[in-house]
Amino acid sequence: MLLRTLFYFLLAVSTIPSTLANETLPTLRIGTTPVFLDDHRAFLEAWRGYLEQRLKRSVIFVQRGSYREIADMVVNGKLDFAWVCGYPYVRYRTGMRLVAVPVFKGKPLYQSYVIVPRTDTTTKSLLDLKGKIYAFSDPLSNSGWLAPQAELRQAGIDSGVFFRKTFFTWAHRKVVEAVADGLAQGGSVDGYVWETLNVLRPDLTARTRVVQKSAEYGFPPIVARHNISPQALDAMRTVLIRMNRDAAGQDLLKRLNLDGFEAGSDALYEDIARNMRLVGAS
Amino acid sequence: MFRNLSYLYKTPLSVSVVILLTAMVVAGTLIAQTYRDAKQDLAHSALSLGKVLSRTLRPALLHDQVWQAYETITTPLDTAIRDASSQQMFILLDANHQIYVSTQPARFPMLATLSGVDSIYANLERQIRQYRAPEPFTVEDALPGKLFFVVPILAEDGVTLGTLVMQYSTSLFLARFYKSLVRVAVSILAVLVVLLPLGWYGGRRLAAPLIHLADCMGRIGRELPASIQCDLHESRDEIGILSSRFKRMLEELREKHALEKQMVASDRLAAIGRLAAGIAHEINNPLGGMLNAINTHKRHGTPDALAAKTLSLLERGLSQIEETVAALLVEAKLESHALTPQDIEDTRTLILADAQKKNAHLDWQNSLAEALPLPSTQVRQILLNLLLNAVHAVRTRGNVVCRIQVSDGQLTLTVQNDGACISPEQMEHLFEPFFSVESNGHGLGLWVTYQLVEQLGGQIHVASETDNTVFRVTLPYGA
Repeated sequence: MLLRTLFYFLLAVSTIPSTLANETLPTLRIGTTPVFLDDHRAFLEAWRGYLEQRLKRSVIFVQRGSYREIADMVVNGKLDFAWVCGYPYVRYRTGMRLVAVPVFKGKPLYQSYVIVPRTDTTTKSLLDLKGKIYAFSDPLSNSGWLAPQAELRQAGIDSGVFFRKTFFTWAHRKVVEAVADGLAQGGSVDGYVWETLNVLRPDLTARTRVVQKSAEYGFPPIVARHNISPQALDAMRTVLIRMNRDAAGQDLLKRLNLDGFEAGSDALYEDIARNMRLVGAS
Repeated sequence: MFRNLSYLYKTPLSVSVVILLTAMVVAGTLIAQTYRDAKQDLAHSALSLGKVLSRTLRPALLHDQVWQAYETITTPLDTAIRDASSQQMFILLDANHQIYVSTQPARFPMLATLSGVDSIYANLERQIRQYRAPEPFTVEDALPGKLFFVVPILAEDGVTLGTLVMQYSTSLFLARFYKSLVRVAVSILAVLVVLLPLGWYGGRRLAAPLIHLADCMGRIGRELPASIQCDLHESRDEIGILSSRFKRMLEELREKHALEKQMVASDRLAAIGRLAAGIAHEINNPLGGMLNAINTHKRHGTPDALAAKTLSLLERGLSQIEETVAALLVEAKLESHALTPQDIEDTRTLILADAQKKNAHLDWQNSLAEALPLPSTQVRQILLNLLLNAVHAVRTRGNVVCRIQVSDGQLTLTVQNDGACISPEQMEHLFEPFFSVESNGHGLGLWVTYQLVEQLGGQIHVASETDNTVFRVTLPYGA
């Protein structure tokens, strides 16, 4: 009897990950959006393991169909952290806190690309795509919607009638697919995602052609809910910023096609705020 | 050509033709069925896929989710969909029959119409526009080599939101059909390989009795009926009936042939008899005069020694001629008493001495119990002649059988011996005068016997085979 109790006790202890020394902390919920290739489950699992080990608490990733759902969950405190686009961060700044900004090609910046099918050899810019079918990624995406909208507005064009038809693919990667398949005759895509795909799936990007690269914007940041504890925020920021200092972190960053993370600042997102005002989004 | 062919080939050929025709009909039916099945399977799977897709496409159309619709219709197809020669293509039309999305967006772009993309689709587009019912339907005649399955996509209230057009290349089911075709052909060939030799064998077996019968019939005219030996098919079918009729005909032919031979022989014997009687009569008259003259001269004359000797010599010679002529001229005029069993037994006594000389065994079976109205002298002569011949024919310690039977108004005398047989050549002239089987006979015994039997209205038969020669004489009496 005693032996049996002892056996169950040992069994119960053995199932608790040894890294979770502090069991009183609740599981961290981190939302992801297609600002990076969040459909790579193996990578997410590896990153989750890394974060659990470094943060010494359990972590889960939460995914939803659109940027808005993730943004709403952060604002409503349903998620502790999230990797969102700069646009929702600026838009819901009061409900979110900036944790860290990825560093891509040495800078915490990225661009929005206008791509067309490889077979289209004449288009030179977004403005050449009048009357065409155009693919956006997400209405809350800067590179996949806000930036091209702002550009059209700057050119004095009403985007509602400029294109023959537009649609959302709800992910940058799918914008690339839609343009590559010829479903759309043009599309706006996160430059970082296109470049990463260019490494992972060159056959896909080869069927598209980048015709225009936008000005640089602040890279989609890691944010936290506004009422996160300072300790948790600091812990996460520290772990992310130090990722490039160990082999496991470097490996993950390499798979993300990023150099690392830095603390960043709101100033990075001023251009997005300007675009919002230009387009008239509140 | 076929009409003149032997049944030996005609029957197996007919059986083979029937087998081939049957095989062709079966193969044709199977092939038609396989074709229908392959097409139906394709239609079934396409339409059930269309139903599944339409459920997902309905919200996509309602909410204008282009990408979701595109992902939905591309999911069932492999990555080769972008190939324009792809065997399957799906096109989703909106409520205005404009292309919403297609699996080949480069060729069928959004917002275009089917007929706008290619005029060959005008017919299909017209059929889709005219269609009002909610059920999916199939279009086979719109494009050669293509099958279209059209699935209307309806809102909950039945309003048409769009139409899913599924284009399948007929080569999809034709490939399957050809595979089945090869299987059908192989099985039919295998069946033929077994059935054709069986049919050929069966056909030949069926024709064999007919061929045999025809062969046998062909021998008539070329060979003597007696020498035609046919082991004919025995059954109750037509060939069996034909065979038995033929056997009877052959039998009758043999009898007729034998009868003709017999008639020729008896005609010849009758002619010889008339000739002999005529000659004997012509000889008898002068002979009687000559003998009378010699007699008179012996009684009243006084011949010297030489004349007496000469006359005696003449008398003996003339007497011998008289005897011979008397033997040739079988006289039936002799009066004799009716035949009694004792007459038969007397004959036995007469022959026993000769039989004992050769140590021959005489088997005597006399069933005559009472007197018969037959002239005893002639009957005794007939029996004695036959018995003498038989005893002469047997070897030392041979067997002679004599059977006397009375039945149906006939007396039958059968004399049998186990001596050397009579050859067919000898048989031809057996009853002619001066013909002898043996070297030491004068050759008148059987002639006399024959004449006596003829005069009594009876018949004489002879049969001879190795070690068994039988003479049978039948004499009618009373009636």
